[in-house]
This record gives sequence, structure tokens and C-alpha cells, in this order.
Amino acid sequence: MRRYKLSYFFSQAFKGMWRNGMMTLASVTVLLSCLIVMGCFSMLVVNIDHNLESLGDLNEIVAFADTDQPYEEGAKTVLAQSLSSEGKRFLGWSTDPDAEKAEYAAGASYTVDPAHAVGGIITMYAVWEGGVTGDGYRIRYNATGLNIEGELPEDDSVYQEGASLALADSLSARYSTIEFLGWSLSPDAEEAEFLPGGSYTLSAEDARGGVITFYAVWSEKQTFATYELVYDANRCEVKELPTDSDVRLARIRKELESLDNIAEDGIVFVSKEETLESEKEKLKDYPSLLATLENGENPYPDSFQITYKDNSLVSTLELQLSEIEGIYKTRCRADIAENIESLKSGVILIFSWFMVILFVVSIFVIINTVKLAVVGRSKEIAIMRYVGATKWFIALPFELEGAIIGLFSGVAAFFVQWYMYGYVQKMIMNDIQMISILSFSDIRIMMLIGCLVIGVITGVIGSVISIRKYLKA
Amino acid sequence: MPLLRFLLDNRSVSRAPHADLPDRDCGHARKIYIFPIGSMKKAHGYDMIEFKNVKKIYPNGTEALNGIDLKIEDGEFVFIVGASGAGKSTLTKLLTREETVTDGQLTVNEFNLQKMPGRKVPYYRRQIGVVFQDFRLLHDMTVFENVAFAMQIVGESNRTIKRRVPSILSIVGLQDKAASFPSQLSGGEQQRVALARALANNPSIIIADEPTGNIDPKLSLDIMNLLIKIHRKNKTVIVVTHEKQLVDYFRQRVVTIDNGVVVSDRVGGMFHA
Repeated sequence: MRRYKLSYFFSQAFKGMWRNGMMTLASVTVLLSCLIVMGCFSMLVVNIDHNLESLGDLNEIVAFADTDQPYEEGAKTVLAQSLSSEGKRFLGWSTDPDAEKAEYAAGASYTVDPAHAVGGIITMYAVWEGGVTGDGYRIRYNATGLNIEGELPEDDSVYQEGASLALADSLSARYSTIEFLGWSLSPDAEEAEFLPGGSYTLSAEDARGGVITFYAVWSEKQTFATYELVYDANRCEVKELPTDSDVRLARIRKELESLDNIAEDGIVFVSKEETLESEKEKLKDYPSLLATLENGENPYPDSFQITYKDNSLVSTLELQLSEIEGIYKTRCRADIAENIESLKSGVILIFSWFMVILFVVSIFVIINTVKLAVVGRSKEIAIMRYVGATKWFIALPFELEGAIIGLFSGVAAFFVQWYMYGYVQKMIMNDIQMISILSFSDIRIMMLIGCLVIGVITGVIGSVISIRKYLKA
Repeated sequence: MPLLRFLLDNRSVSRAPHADLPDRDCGHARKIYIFPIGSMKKAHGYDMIEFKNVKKIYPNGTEALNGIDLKIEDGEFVFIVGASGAGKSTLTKLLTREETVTDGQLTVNEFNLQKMPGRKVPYYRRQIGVVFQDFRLLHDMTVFENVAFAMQIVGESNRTIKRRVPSILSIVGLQDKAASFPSQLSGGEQQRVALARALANNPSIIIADEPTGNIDPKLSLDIMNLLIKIHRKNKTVIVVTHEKQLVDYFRQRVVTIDNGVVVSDRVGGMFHA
């Protein structure tokens, strides 16, 4: 049995490297820098991928609702569902508090009619079976659609018919110079029936639904292009009085649920309060921005986070969403992901060219290094060939030499990258908190194997090309 | 004829299992062992070298050989002589498969040299031992290592190498110089190292290309005697030379080449160029 000793090939390879030390060093350096560039590039790509992942589920579309926006004339909406109160049956809704029959059924659609509005507000009164009888009359004040300085005056007392009382003092408008003239029982009055602080004798005829409302009369009459809808339980104790916004959100939710391509439990409602809180959390390191959020009105809309099933039908879904009444904007995570993906492909393209050039250069340097070793041993090789050495026997030490150069470069590149990565990571972590960076231990094994394999392969390719050229001649 | 008898003797010996035992008188081997007969590849009883109308035209148009017809039987001793440029070295190069035949047929043992694929060339070369005018020794290796190197290349085990190198060195009479470097030896001794290296893998054919060209004439005879001694160990020996005196002295078969053709082929002949 004939055996070739590996130690022979290795000793020959090391001898060759030692003999042309400078050239070996040069090729290690070139290959090293090539591997470092490659490493930086792959670390960049890996981190882009990582950030894509941390963007969360990409099958997500956010629909923003403008359900707190007032209606325009003729707008269609849906009224709230039935109320429940102890011992009373809910019949429906009416714009008249004293109605005995419901004008609108619970959940019925409603077209906004300015005639129902008082001071830009349409009030839907609950209609109960058997009507509502109160124990007296209450006094309410209404600013008639103008923002006022301070609070509206309140009067919690219950009055009986014929009672005499003093009205509230004058109001002052908040953002304008409109003058307060007095109070009136009609919202459309142009002249004040009662002076501020004037006296009034209660008359049942003035009451609507057990409430006598005094409307502020302003020197300039307010006109309204948009109307708000509010619900009134009409003197009955109810557990929860719906707001128009809730009703509209419920309707949107129902429409969303009827859509295809939505994952199970794929609709999550995020209220504007929740959004505000989470944004505050994000901005906690920026006190000036946070202050504006805390002091002003909540600038965020309510939204629905919708998880969909099929990525290819996103545009259809977006169209469907935009057609839903009350959704004014959608934001698809796929857009962000797409942007990052295109960034990634750009990075890959640029670095591919870099790498091709660097690899060609390093292969050339290795070819020359090995060629030097080959020429240095040409006499020996000639003798080997005369004595009957096979080609692989002659070539193996040189190929090993290339492989060892590659191995050295790979190991060196790995440690250089380790150091560099830690440095860059620290820098980015300190300055840009929005980008999350993988720790080196997560990509250590990948980097080590990549450096070694590519280094060794490059070394072997270079030496094979070099020795093949020589052995042919 | 004495030579014919010689050949026949050798042939009968070659079939015997102990054909390759080192000579008792010159061998200082501690052990008796058998050379691997397999490497001789005696498939057809005996082998030969056969040139059939061999032509060699170099790419630059030089016609080196113009139809050589030559048959060398197994175990023969042949001088190939001729003037410079007659085609001697081309013939050697064809035999060592450094060059390929342009036209005609060249067979060595069972190898057909023009049809042989490149990967088989090393295995063919293990069956021929070549000695050059300029010795071609490695100067950073000792005598022992130079011989061992040839065996290492074909993958012999260290044990075999340690056992066989001294016995080969004793054949060429250099058993005491094993640890010397080539630069410490005379030309004749260096050529003997080269010869030992050629013998290392027990080839059946020894080709000596001007083996005495760089050697003191007094020592040339020693080298030639050594080649005759190797020939007696049942090896085909081809000596390419232009040294008239030596050729005449040994009275072996002489093949004369001129202008790329064989002009004379005489057994026990004389040099006439």
C-alpha cells in the first residue's frame, strides 16, 4: 500500500510561503481587505434584513378613521343601536325629545339635515315606550355654536312650573370679538329675549323634553357648514350613552369584517388615546416635542391595524379600504418594506461590483505569489516530472499554499471585522436609536465560516490557475 | 553469439521470481528482499521498444526525425550515436515522453506513446529511469534524500524507502556518501547519485542521455561500467553518446543516427558517425 504523507505537502507549502515572504504577505493583505469589504457588505445586508423583521408583521395595513369629524349637509350615517334601561322599552331615535313615536329605528341610516341642528349640533333623543315624564324642569344654557371663554353656566336645580329664577350672566367669545347680546329660547333668534342675569318665570310651554334651553344670542349670527351628532338618553338612566364616534367606528369595523383577505383576528382597533400614549413613549427622550403633545389636543386619529392574508392583493384591499366611509387614509407597511428592500438590492448591486473587482485582484496577486513559488522550485518540479510524479502530487503543495494564504486572510479578516463591528455598533447605538443592530455574537459563526470558506476558495482558485499554467508547459 | 546468449540468459532470468535480487558481491544489504515484480509489467513475456517509421517535426518546422525504424529487445544494451543535430536528443525526448511523435508509431513495453493520455505519463515514467548529462540533482538535499525523493513521489512508505535506498546506493557504490550533499561530491559521484535515483523505482528501462558528458574522462569508464552492471541486472539500457572511445571499448549494439534516420545498426559495432 502506497501512502502519501500529508506532512510532506504541508512542509512544502510552508517552505514555499517562507521563501517568498513579502509576496505572501501582500497576497494575504489584498485578500484580507477583500474579505473585509465583503464582510462589511454582508453585515450591512444582514442588518437591513434584521431591521425589516423588526418592522413587525409586514402583512399589515393601517387604516386611519376620521370618525370625530363633523358631518356635512346631506351626509349619510348610521344611528346608534338600542339603549337599555330598567323597566323601559326603547323604541328608537327622534330629534324631538317629546316625540312618542320613534322617527328612526335603532341602527337605521340617517341623512344629516341642517333643520335638525341646533347650533351645529344634531341631538338624537331616545324614544321610550309610554313616553317620559319628568319630576320638573331643568335649565340648560347653550353657547349656540360659539367657543366661549370659560365654562358654560350650569344649573342643577329642578324647577316646577311658575318658578321664578335669574338667568346666567353674559358669556364672552373665545377667539373673536363677537358680542354677547343676551339669552333667547330659540336658537335662531336674532335679538335677545332675556338680558344676562335677567329674571325668567318658568313656563312649561318653553320646555322640550323637560328641559328649558337658553341660547346665547350673539351680535353676529353663527352659521354652520358641518354638524355634530350627539345622543341623549332623554331623562332615563342608561348604562352607557353612545357617542357618534363609537357608532361610526363600530360601523367601519363591521364593514372591515365583511372584507375578504383579512386574517383571523386581523382587525385591531387602536384608539387615538392609545396612539398618543405610544407616541409619547417613543418621544420620551425629546422633552420639547413631548410637551407639545401633552399640552395640545390629541393630533392622532383613531386607527385600525389590519392584518391581511394575501400579499399580492394588497392594492385591492387598499382600494376597498379607501371606499369605506370614515376611512380617510391607509398606510401599508409593505411600502416601507419595499423601500428598504430596494435599498438592500442597491447595496447588493454596488458591493457585488466591488467584490468582483477585489476578488479578481486578489486572485491575480495569489496567482503571482504561487507562480513565484513554482518558479523557485522549477528545477525540483522538472525532476519530479522525470521521476514520474503525478500532476496532483506536484500541484498539491502549491494549492495548499494558496489555501493557507486564504485561511490566514480569513482568520485575520474575521478578527478585524469583529473589532470594527463592535466599534460601529457602539457608534450607531449611541447616535441613532431607531436602527437596531444585531450583536456580533448573532452573526459570528456565519462571518467566520464565510471568511474562511471564501478566503480558502479564492486562494485555491488562484494557485490552481497558476500551477495549471505551469504544468501545461 | 555471446550477446545473443547473454540476452537469452537474461530473459530466462527475468521470468524467475528472484530476478531482481541485488548482486551479492556488491550489495551490502542486510536483508534479502524481492523487488516488486508487478512494476516490471511483463505482460507479454518480454517487452521491447519499437519505433515504426517515427517522424518528429517541431512546431517551428524543424524535421528532427524522418522515419526511424528501430527495435530494442528487453534487456538489451544499446548505444545511440550520431553527430550533434542528428536527432539523438529528440529520440530521447520521445522516449521520455517530453515530446510526442508527429507520425509513425512508438511503443514502449505495453505503452503506446502517441495515444497515451497525459494522466498516464507519470506512470509510464516510473518504468523508465533517466540520467542526464547535467545530473539534475537537488542541491539542498543529501544523497540519500535525493534518491528517497524519487520514491517519495510515487508514494513509497518511509519503511520501504529506508530499506531500499542504502541497497540502491550500494549498487552504485555510494553507500558511504549517503549523508553528503551533491556539492561535496565529484562529477562522477554526482552522476552515480543520479543513476541511483533513476534506479529508485526499479524501472525496466534506463535511458542515459550523454551520461559522461560532464565527467572527467577517467571517471567516464566507471560510469559506463556501472551501466553495464545495471544492464546485467536485466535492465534495458540505452546510452545516448557521442564519445567514440567508450562506444568502441564496450563493443555493444550501436545504432547510428544521421539526419533523423538510422544509418547503421550493428551488434558489437564501432562508432562511425
